[in-house]
Amino acid sequence: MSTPTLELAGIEKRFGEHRAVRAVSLACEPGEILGLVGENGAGKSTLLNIIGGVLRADAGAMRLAGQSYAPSNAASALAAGVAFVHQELNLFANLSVAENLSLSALPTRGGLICRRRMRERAAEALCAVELNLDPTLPVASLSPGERQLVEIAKALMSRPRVLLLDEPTSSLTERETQLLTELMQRWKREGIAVVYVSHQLEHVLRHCDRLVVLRDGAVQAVGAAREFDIARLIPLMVGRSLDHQFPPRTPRRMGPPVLEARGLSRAGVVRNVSLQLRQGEILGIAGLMGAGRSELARMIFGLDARDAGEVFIGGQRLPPRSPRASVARGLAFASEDRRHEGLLLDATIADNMSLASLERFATSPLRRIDHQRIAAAADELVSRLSISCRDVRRQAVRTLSGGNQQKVVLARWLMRDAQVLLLDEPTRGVDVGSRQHVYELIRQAAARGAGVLLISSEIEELLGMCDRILVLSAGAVQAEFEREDFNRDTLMAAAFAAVRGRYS
Amino acid sequence: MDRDVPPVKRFDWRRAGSQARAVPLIALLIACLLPWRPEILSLYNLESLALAIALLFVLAMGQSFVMISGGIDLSQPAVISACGVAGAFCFAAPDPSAGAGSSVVLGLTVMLCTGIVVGAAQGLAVAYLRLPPLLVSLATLMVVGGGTLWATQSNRYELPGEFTRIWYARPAGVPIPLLIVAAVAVVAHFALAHTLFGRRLYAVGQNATVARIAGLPVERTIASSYVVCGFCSGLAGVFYSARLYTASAELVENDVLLDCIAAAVIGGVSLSGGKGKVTGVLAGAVFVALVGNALNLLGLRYWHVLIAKGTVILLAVALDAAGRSRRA
Repeated sequence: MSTPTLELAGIEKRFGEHRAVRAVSLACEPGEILGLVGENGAGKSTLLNIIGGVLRADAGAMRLAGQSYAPSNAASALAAGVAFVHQELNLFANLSVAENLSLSALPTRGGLICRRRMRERAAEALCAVELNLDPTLPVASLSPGERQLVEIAKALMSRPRVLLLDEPTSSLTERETQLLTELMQRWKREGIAVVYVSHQLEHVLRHCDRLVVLRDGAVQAVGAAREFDIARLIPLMVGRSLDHQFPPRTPRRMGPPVLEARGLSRAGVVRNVSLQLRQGEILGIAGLMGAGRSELARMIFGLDARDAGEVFIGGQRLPPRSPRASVARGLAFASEDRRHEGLLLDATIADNMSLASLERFATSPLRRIDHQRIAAAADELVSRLSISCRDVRRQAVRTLSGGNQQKVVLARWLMRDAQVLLLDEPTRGVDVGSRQHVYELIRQAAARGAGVLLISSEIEELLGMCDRILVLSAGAVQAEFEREDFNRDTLMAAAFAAVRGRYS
Repeated sequence: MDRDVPPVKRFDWRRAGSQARAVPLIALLIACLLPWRPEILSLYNLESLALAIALLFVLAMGQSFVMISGGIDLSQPAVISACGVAGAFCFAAPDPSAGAGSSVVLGLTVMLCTGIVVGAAQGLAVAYLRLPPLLVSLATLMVVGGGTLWATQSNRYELPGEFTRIWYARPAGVPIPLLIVAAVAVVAHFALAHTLFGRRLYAVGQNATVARIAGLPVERTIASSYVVCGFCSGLAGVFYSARLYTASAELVENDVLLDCIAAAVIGGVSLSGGKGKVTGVLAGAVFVALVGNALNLLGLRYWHVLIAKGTVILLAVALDAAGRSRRA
């Protein structure tokens, strides 16, 4: 065999304490399609970002066609011949297709942009992805699939030696996916090395030459694609090594339903989801990135708009877009984006904790706030939740660790005695010790009779905590598992099942 | 648990920074000026300075409510004039059956209510229609300013002596505006620091999404801040028109606006919302009024005053920005 186009040796990447990529070595030959598969957070995107120059590896070396390759940014990666098609679309919706395609190197004549030349180039580029459309159209008028193809066309304009595709099929229709498959065969003939990341396992198995399975940032298995099938892949992908334990389950009786959602839908995001949550129940929501998990919780809470469906709390209908009404009825929501949607970072611990129960501390006719009572309530929660801090009334939450910040968010809802907790990734960015506390808090809330909806990307967490798990896939409920049927592999299989890269 | 952490220091000057900053600036200004113009501390000058501070503080306080909620109100100058004129119309067509006292009360009420109504309209547009505050208030500045010109046909309206007493009377030697403004300051401080509304206002200004998720009435809170600002503009309208004995569409210059935004910012009110205290705004108002007063005492021309004031304000704001980036 010739020298590989791309070679990685011992690539490492840390984010704080978290080792996102561990000692990854791999190679990709010219004309080879290398599939990269793994669970959410297995390190696929991080690895692509390193190859594409977006991130720099902490250790390890890369070679491009035998030569040392260490891009300092995306532009230098592109100059070296590595083109990256990102998962999130990076086009300017207000500009035309042609302008987007030429943005990095606008053709000029005498200092002015030469529009004719720009259109010609764009037409050529679109031809390379067999996309037949007018390059003067604004990108905003394109379908998601067309935008994805424009993005690929843009990557191909630099005549890359290596093409990195991160989830290209997630926005493509079936026909467009077919087109992509044909294009991949063409690139293969042209000798381009393609690194392809996808959750659509069947597509990966059918069209890649070789597969690399990542788990916890490390290479779990490598081999020719024909040696794998889905049944063999899934056990390789899941089973994260968790270094924490879940608090023991105390047997408890579940009460009547506290929350009921019927036929929740929003175009392209969530399809006809219905669910019931009972008093004292911890209901897990599993699914891949982009399966609509967070969106579902936000819709229930009334934070995001919905096209159809209704939510009932204790039998009463909830107004569709009013978090205020939801909170008043006993709903609580902890966003996955703690820093932007969970906390007032510059406000004090007491202020953050009391935010949802301010009325309770302002009962006098002038609605005067009783700072003493707030501080006392906050102090009590600080010791109950083992939050390490100095002074609840003066210390800003910004100065707390991630785990303690998360506890403050939970404390806010505990202060209100919320009856339904919608928790979106409550342990993200939380250290191992605090995780334990967070788990205990969730259990205690359930034991007290609250219903908990727990969204998590970590299968282990759901298996350890939940009484029941719903698996979302492409916005719809794909499967439901009772505790006695919990099984890592079947759960994962369900999560991957409906990924056809297309929503209704 | 692990709570054996060091205790907090009693007072941290750096963290108090943005509010305490105006105080040394004020001291510096007086110290520099005193040898040149000792009359700055004369009783006469102190009284006119105090009145200037009171006027500026009322406006800056209203502006601060809006700024804390995360918005801005550029319409103040037009609203001040409109309020004055609306009141003047009541005096112009007095109810013959009532005495002069009741027409003063009516005029006052109309002035304040005009401010409240304009503020409410802006609040609705910003909070419920989600229009950008900058444009809403700029448009209000034009519409209300134009409307006032139209209604007055550029005429001036004399105001009765019973009304202008509000500015000129000195019960027990203390000007009435100082008493009123002191009351406003106390109420504003109580509202911001000790009420439900105040807590909500800061929360909404710091992060409206977080506030919304916590179930706070975000729209109502934002709209209320504009109503408060409108009321303050109305009160300033009362003072300005009483001071000049007349109401007209050109009651105040538009540069009043820069003064009061500057007073708020120098006083520690953040342009990005969620921060600010009454004591800070008061210190900011003292500083800005003092700069104006000092420049007048030095006998500078109007354009020199403008240039110098603008420069000083820019420096003070730059200081604020520098302080912020150091903390971040």
